[in-house]
Amino acid sequence: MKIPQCDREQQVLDALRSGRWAGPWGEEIQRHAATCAVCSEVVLVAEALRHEEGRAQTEMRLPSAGLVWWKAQLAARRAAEECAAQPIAWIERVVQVFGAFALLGLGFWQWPRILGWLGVSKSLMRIAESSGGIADWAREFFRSFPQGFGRSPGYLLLVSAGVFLTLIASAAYAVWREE
Amino acid sequence: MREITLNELDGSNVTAGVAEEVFHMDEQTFRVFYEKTSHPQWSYLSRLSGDSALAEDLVQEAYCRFLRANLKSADEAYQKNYLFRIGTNLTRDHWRRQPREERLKAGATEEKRADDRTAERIQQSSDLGRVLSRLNPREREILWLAYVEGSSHKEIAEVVGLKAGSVRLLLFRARHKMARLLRGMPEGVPGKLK
Repeated sequence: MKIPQCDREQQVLDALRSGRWAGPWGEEIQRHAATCAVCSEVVLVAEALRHEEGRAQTEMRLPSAGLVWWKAQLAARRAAEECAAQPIAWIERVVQVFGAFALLGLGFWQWPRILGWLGVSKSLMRIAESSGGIADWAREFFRSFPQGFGRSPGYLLLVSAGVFLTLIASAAYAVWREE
Repeated sequence: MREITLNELDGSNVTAGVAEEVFHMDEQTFRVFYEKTSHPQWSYLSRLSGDSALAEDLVQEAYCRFLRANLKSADEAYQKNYLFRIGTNLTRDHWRRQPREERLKAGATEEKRADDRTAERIQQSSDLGRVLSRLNPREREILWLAYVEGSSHKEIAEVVGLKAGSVRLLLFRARHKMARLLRGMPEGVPGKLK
């Protein structure tokens, strides 16, 4: 597409911007604009927009430079804090993922023992049901617990992992609530 | 605008060190730059968005981002252009964010939707606003930068994110469209230009 152009377009614009357009120095350029289709269009549009800009100046509401500077400082501070907290957040996520994998691995590895433990619990429940007394149940529980527990170091590991994961879950919950 | 709390005011002293490290100009230089550029920036954004209150927020956000930006040059014209670019992008982001729900309902494009609302607001504000409301946002951007700010094609291209060659054509089309509207001629009628 061929764009119609005039060599004096910039001259017309400069005259409008500088205010020379309305003065005696602008007569010659005004005569040109009256006969040039491109420049007359430029004058029409530029004057309309400049009029609109003048109107905009009257309704302007701007905060002071000091307030904007202060807000920019706050934004910079917030950005710096977010940047500094990023590694901590990453470490938290990594710990959570490792914790979850550790729990799964431990469960898989100690599955027979867990089943055995559940078996002990079931027998305890049966005792509680048959005797009907909570005191008998508790006595039986504390009698069987150290025996089962002391049979292998795996139990100790299991309990440690449980405590560890509970702590991780609590920490994760605390972080989530804080956010 | 958001109210400032006492805690935030107290915290402002602590931030001075951060600002010195992050900002590319000191407070005094910023004040001078702000006095020179805030009025044109506000006029541009208010006529682009058609909303004075929004323009005020956009101006503030534009300066906050400008101060943190990694500028390639300390030249004032370059800095002003960069500021206008930030303002233009913020206005576009606002348009994109705002009408998402409406777009899902009506299936119209986001920018078109936002532009319709902007157009309504401008139309209410002035007679000339009626003409501006018939232009699309990009046409308003280009025309304002060319004829109010006196920006060159290259500078406009940098602000609106186009090639200088494209700006030349778009500027011609936008100017022609606006001239027709100002003369009260319907769009699509052949013009007088040879």
